Amino acid sequence: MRLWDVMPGTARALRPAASGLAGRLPRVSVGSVVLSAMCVPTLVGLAVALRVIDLNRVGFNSDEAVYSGQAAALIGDETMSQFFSVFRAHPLLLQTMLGGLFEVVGVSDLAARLLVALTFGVGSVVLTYMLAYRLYGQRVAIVAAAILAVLPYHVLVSRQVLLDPAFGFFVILSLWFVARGTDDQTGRWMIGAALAAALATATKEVAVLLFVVVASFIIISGLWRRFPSGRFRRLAVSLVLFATIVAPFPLTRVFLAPGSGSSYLLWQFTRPANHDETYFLQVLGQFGGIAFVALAVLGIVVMLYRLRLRAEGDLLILLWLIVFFGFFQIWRIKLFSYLMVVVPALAVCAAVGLDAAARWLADTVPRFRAKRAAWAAALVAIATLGLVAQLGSASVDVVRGGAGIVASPVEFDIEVQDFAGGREFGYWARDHTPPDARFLSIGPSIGNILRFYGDRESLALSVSSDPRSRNPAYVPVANPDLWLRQMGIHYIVWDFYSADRSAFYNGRLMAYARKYGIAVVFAVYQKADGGLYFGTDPPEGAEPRILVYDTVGGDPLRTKTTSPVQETQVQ
Amino acid sequence: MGRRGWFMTHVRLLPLTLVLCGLALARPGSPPPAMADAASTSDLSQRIDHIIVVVEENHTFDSYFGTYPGANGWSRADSYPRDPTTGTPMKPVPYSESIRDWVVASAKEGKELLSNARPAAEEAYNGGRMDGFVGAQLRRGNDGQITMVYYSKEDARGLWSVADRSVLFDNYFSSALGDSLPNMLHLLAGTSNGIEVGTKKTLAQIADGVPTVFDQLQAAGISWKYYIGGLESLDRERIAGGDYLRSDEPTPSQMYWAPILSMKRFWEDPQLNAGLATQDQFFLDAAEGRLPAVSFVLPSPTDHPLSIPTAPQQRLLSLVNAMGKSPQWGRSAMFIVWDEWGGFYDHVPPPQVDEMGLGFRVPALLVSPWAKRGYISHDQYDHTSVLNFIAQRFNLPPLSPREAASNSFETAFQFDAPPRAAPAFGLASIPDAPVGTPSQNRLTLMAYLEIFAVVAAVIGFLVWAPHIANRKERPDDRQDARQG
Repeated sequence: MRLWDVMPGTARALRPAASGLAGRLPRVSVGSVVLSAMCVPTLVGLAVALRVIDLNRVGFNSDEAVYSGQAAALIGDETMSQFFSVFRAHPLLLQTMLGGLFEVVGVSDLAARLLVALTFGVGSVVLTYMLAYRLYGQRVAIVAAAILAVLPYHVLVSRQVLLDPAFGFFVILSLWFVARGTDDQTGRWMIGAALAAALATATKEVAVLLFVVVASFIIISGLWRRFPSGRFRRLAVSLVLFATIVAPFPLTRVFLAPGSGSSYLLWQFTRPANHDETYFLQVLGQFGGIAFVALAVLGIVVMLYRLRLRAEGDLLILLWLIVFFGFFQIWRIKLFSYLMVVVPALAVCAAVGLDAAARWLADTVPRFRAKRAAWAAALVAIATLGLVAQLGSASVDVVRGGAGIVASPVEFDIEVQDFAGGREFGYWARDHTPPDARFLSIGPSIGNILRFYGDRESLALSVSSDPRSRNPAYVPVANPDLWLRQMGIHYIVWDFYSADRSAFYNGRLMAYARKYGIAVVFAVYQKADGGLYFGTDPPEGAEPRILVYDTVGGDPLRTKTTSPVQETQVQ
Repeated sequence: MGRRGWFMTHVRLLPLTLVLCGLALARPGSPPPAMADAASTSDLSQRIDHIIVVVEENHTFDSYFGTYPGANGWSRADSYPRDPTTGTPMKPVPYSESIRDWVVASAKEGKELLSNARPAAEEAYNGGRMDGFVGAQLRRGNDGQITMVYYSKEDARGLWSVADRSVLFDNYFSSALGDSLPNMLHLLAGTSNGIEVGTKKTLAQIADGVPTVFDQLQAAGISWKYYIGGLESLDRERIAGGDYLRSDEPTPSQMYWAPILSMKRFWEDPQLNAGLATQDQFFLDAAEGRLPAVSFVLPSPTDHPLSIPTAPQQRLLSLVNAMGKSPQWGRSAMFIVWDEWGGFYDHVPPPQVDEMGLGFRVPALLVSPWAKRGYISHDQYDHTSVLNFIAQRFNLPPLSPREAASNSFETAFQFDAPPRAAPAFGLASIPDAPVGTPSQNRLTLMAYLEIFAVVAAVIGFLVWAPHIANRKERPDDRQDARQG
């Protein structure tokens, strides 16, 4: 038997696609119910634990601050409304949910993270189980959910208030409805799929790619021909539903903020590439591990070979991967969290690969042949436990800020660890600086954190004066020297993350700090043991993470401030 | 008349007697006592630990705040000084670019722009008629128009922004009709000891004498510093040797503006000398929370002589911001005063309390978390009032009768209200980041809430529709059953 001939989830022989989805739900047995009852809660508990431990140890990163700030602005928070425009690049469904949460518990970074982690992070694990169960049966479903529950990448991104966890959740939900398509004679799956797709699009507009996935699947698999009568009517209803749910995004732009949409579009399409083509593979390797990647590749290979059989489950998964991963691979801007939408598919692929390998081994090794089914199950179980242990410990290491798995946080744009101390900086600014005080930073990231936690305005040197090259949400610093002299800027803040990304602007900022700064009034250092130190007299071996310089307006003073940071210190 | 009648007669006369005695004792021109407010000495000691006095140069109240809304500005004058050559009254003229260009050119030639010494002041004062300003400058070869220059809101926007959020005194006078030295001596010592004008000779006179507030503070163990802009450019040896007072040596302006630099003991006594600091040190001390109990600041650049207003205002605002950003802000009070008239016009005749003055009105501001916000004080003050305030706070005896009789500043404070947040002044116009208005945000929220309504409706329909369909089928089932 060849590896790719194995049909996961069933012991049946190969079937042509006309018979329906491969891995059609097997008859439920008592044993499988018990297994599910044991495994699913355990996996959910594991997923919850990994996503909430030390959840609030480090404050928001820049994107989290922006989305949460938008949420607060939506519900009328006066302070946040001054700093965060609701009219930025993306739709506002997640922000609306966060706003509802803030109405109940107040504006809280912990509450926001809990909402995302538990609803969308853990929810994605559950949905992946359900999808894989429908496509491939219980064993693959358990393995896929187990992988996703402990995968460092998924854990790390689920713990952040980003759009991608919710976006990924709704994509899985939509595809689950599609997977129900052949069993659902009423056609209600179309409405469910459209609803979920609309919610995904109302979270992040790139979800329109689901149309490509679903349309391709329906056409290639022939599912369209097997629709009940009234399929056009249901399609029309689905499209109307989709449009209704997605409508707020374009309509609010057109009628409430005309021009902002075109500004963002212009900026999105003219942004220069920030990573090369191997970036996502590096991310998967670093935050998934070799075993996970190898199994996923094996699963993809198995599915590709099985395509000649037009196995519909494989087709759906592969289309999901090809369309979304392909798009992000082509798109010039590559951010760490973009893989969130495809990682569940990769988890399913890895589960398929693991299951196929186990079955092949059970069928190939003479000793196992006698009881190949039992041996296959045992091999899958052992391998899964090992994988869960390895990935789980890696996840714990990552969420606790360990450097074991990550060579350089900045290299992969993780952003969370790099703003350690940012929340404390914001609180310090709120409590110790004049309400009208304005800060100057290298880039806008630390400024967003300052706005959220510190209620203070910030300007960034790196914001370009060319509208094609800047995020329209930010104001360019036309003349830093003049603004410092005339006290439009009252503090200078240096942060390690931005300095590491841009040596040029780091140098410029430090030049202004030496010229107009009088003293470092707030500092965050990272000690040799990885912990943080707050104060201007750090212990030996501590490296600066955030430094705030008090500036003096007017003509530069004779006294030049001595800085713990030299221009060349950050390479 | 019986014993009782005699007694009652004298009792009735007692109040009249007391009033007459009081009138006899009251000196002419003495300032009326300010009405006491809730503020008191105990409030001061509980709230104010750091007093900062910033001394600017050479402008009258009308020149900077003559058009400030609510203040006693030049528009309230009954008449204006006349140009003696034409006889026509000259109204104040706004500062302009042409004036600025003229100022720059004159400064390059080393030309004096305005005369501000006592003789010119007395001519301008002209016995209280206040009509000699133009003539006083013309007779000294200066441009008479310059004396009538005032700064508009735009040109003085830094100062006005401070006044908007602080206390502005529109009845604060310099202490002497004359230039910097006699006025600074009143500010530091309560008296000028008869010195009417600043010259090398008069600087030499104060080298050995004149007890100052710093001597009092030092003796009382209260910390103090005098932050002097340009201090680092002075040669200590040459000061100690009296070189700067020789006729062939140019005398640094700081010695007139900060007269203690001419007092030997402040160079020879290490403890007193430790109180002299550079302007840079003020910013450092403020940032690190090490300001002393009493600070005097001579800024650099200052707005003397008539200069382009931007640079001096930037420096002044930077000093105010430094205090606002300091950890000591919550227990501080900063007075910003101008030492003397500088040759500029003011329409309010100064009361003459003694042979020295008062001098013309000068701008004065109070910045403090405890100061009333946007308040214009019309009470009468002069430089000795600042000494009086320091003395009240730190229980020091008055340095002079003038100081003892002066008003202090309690009415400018409001200790029964929560302390104000520190300001962050600036002259730059920074564009705001684009954000939505409250109504835009509200409408956007409502638009997105529609999503939840649609989702709920669809889910409800999908869940209940089959049940509704089943119920509709039941009558047919019953019909079939009957037929069966």
